[in-house]
Amino acid sequence: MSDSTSHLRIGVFMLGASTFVAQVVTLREFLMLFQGNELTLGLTLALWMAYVSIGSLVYRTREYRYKRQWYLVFLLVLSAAPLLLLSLLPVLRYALYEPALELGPLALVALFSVTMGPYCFIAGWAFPWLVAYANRISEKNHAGYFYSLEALGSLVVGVIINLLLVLFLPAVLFLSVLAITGFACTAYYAFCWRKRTFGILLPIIIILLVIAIPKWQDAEDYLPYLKNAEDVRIQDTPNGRFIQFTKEGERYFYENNVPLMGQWQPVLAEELVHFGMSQAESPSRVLLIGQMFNRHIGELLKYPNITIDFFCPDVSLRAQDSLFSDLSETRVNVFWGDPVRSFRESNTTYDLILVDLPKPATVRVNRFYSLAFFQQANEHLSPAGIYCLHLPVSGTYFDKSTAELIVILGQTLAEVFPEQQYVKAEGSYLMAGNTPLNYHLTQSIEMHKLSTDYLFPGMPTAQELAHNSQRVLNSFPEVKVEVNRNLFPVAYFAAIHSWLAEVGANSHLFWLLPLIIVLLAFIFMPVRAFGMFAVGYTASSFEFLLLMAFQVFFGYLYLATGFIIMLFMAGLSFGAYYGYRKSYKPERLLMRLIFTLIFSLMIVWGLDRLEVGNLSAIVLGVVLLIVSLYVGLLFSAITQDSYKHRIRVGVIYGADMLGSALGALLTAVYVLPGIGFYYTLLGLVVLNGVAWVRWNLQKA
Amino acid sequence: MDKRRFLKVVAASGACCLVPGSAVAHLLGPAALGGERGYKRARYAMATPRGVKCLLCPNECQIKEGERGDCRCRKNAEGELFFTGYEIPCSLHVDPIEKKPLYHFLPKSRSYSLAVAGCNLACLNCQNWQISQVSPQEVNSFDLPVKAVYQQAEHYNCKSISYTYTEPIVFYEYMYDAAKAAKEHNIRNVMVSAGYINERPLRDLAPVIDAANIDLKSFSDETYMRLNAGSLQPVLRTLKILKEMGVWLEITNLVVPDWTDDMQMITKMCHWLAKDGFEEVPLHFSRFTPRYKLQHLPPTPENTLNRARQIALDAGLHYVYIGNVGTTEAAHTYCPSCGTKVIERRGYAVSVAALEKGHCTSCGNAIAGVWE
Repeated sequence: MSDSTSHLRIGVFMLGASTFVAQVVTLREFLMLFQGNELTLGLTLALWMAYVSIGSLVYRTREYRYKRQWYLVFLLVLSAAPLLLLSLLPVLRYALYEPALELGPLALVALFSVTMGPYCFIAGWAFPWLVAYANRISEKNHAGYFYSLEALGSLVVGVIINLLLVLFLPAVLFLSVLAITGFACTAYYAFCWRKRTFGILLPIIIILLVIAIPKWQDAEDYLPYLKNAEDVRIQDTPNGRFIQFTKEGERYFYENNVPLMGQWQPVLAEELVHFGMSQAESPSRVLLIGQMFNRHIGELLKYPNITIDFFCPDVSLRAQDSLFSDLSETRVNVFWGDPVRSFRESNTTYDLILVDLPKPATVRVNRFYSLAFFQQANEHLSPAGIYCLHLPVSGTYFDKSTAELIVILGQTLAEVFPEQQYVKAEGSYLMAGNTPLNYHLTQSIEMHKLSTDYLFPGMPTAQELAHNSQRVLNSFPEVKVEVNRNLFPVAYFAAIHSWLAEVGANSHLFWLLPLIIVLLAFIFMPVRAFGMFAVGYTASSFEFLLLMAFQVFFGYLYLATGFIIMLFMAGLSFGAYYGYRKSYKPERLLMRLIFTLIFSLMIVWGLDRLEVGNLSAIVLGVVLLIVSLYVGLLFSAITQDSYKHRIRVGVIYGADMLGSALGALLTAVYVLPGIGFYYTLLGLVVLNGVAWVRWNLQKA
Repeated sequence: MDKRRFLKVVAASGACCLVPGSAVAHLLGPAALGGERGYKRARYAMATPRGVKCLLCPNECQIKEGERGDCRCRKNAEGELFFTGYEIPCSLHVDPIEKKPLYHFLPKSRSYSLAVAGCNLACLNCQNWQISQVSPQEVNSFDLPVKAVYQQAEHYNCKSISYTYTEPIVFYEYMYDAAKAAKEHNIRNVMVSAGYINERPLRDLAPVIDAANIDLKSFSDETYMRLNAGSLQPVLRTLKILKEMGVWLEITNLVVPDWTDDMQMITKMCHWLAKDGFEEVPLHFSRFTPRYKLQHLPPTPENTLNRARQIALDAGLHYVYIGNVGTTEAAHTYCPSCGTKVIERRGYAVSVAALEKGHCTSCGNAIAGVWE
């Protein structure tokens, strides 16, 4: 096999496979460690791409000798590193930082840098190295072909993971399968090339991994809340990691490291239920949308003649429903799953809808506070029905982002309901309906002679409630806010700001630095590199937009992540291979990409309005496939063109990855929540337009 | 631009973004003082060659021109220390007195409650970080002159005014003036505080305060430092002074899993309280719920609170409660002499079962507290 490039092709394929598995598991692990919002997702993806980019750019500075030993080391790194580093991640997190402390984005950057950072760096470095190695052997440009092979590696593994393993194997086993495959490859080449050192090295590494990994994976050793816990059960589910345990006789449930406890304060349960019941005129059918641990059902059951439908999004707790005796009442019907779907599938009309959900700190949760959701709710309300929303903020403490959130949600409700009012009591509430509202919110307790612990007839009085509520509203500065829409999630933006303030991070850092880099790239990057930079930015940004659109339409994230990345890789692989075989002019492809983006903008606009259900997934998938196809084609076309102009592939690949990093970060954190889905897509059109103009000017 | 230069420029830009905001503010110079809302000269300060030294709390911040102290509401402007939240509270609410919690002070009464943004501690589990970890200028606030505080209390039929939610010590000047005016109009004053204050300001304040709930956050200096950025001794001194000066006192201890749920530490605390004459002072063991930077911790199991309560009772404390747990037998007041349930509590519903003029109707024993 002396002059053959076949082993390099295997290496590139392994590179694609390894990075795919590692990326999916990394996203999952970081989502679990860092509060699980889109900022975490965007930042993790951005760091990934940035390290790959740095690795790729660094390769250009030095000439490396192409030794077979290095190739074997490279295979070993690809195989063992993800397993080793990702197992190390939780251990490091709890060793380096206060275990119980919620961490901010800077800690994420630090932890990524000491775990997956080196791996990504090597992956970035390896691609141009392998291309240059192959080019030297066969005197031909392999960049497009290898790009296609790398994507194919990701695709094949993506299919295996998404269609088979995700349902049966926990994350650590995905990585183990990858490691075993890589070790087999290494052993095979070591044997063929008679590299005896590796015959000794390989078993040592395997033994070390076998000893160390189970220890690191033992969550009970490092998760702070599992200290002194009994009857611990840990489950990897398609939604993430579900943990349950007992402490001092109390059962606790965690999903992705977040306690599933809902609103524990009984006073808030009393307020929401009795305020709503007082506002509605003798309601008989009530819909409750909330979490399992909220105490609303118990309060609602105090009213003798009502039927309760309960939409519960805590699917993980479904198997535990025997713990909640209220659910077995004949007057209570429980609908598990996504409330948006439950609404879509239901024809029932309600006299009262009570909503108590967490903050819109993710795009998924933001859907329950959006214009579309309120419209859906109104369609299910009787003519005198009331929509009563417990705001996920305190009734007493208002910082600026909390105030902004209240104003946004109030304005969004006002778009749908002619009548709406804010109520400040122990909690904060928004009530809305189609008939006039009032502040006599304890009258149902009096009327039904109910026994309550926190609210009593005439306490608080209507006058107090009205006065306090108005005073709070008056204290808010007059700001012009947008209505909260699924694809323009301004409430999510406010919640993310609130989270950044909570963890003490400087929110400006996350847009200022990337923006400076984009501007520098525009000014200083050579035209071909900038073209690839724009395409990379578009690719990751578009991928992220699609992730968000999937969440909006279908309400899940983790399971969708693998599918979306997989589809994207299919497009990349096919596009890059096709571009490698044919000769395309990059500027023409850029123009076609621009038209595709405009086309997809119209498609999503249509889907958002038509509510075509599962068809949306297919259409969005096709759009993603077309965009990724163009990205692949463009990579091949630009590298072919660069090869002619003696520009090294590391620069192009590095620019691609740098663009991807910035695209993921800016889109996730600022551009999307700041200007909405449609303008973000329009921004991508403009960016590619600029690249196209620069390209043509250069030519001219 | 070659790649090396490009990377250098990127790194330099990143470094610029990481420059602390305070340094930028310093470069911009101090904010103009003229007519700024909420400013009032601080009562406890001393000029030093390094800037103004605040003498209000044990932090004793040395504050440079244009900067603020750790509490974020005391600022050195033109060489003088100003409190910046005067008459601009950020939270106003009418609460049952039991919510403070004060179980032995005017039960069933309502308390007009207010807060100004800022705090001299930095608890990882802060329940109201939105207003405690910012300056008064960073939140939406109301205009509420000193005179209006007692007027509002009267309007809402409140027997007391509570300075609460954030740390009232940091809005000392406002609290003092409002409390003084309220006292003249027969409205009582309640301070809900962590008790992290220097001796002189506390002794000056105590005459206008009728009751206080002091949060004794733990009984270890190290935990105080790591969890709250404070220290234990000043809080213990506060407890002694308040008791000595006749302020009705109740103590809260928040039991945070893995931080303050060590039963040995709780035992030590209870013995100290019993030994130093606090056996008649009600002690509330409060349940932690995930907040702020400790959101991954589970809520305190109720059994842990009950164990802590038993330790306190065994140490000789007479009135020990558990809180934040819904309805519980441990929320009622029992006569320490005969064990009769003298006050029954379910949430905010309070019924005086066997108490007359501060005495148990069953055995006649005096129940410590301010009942009228």
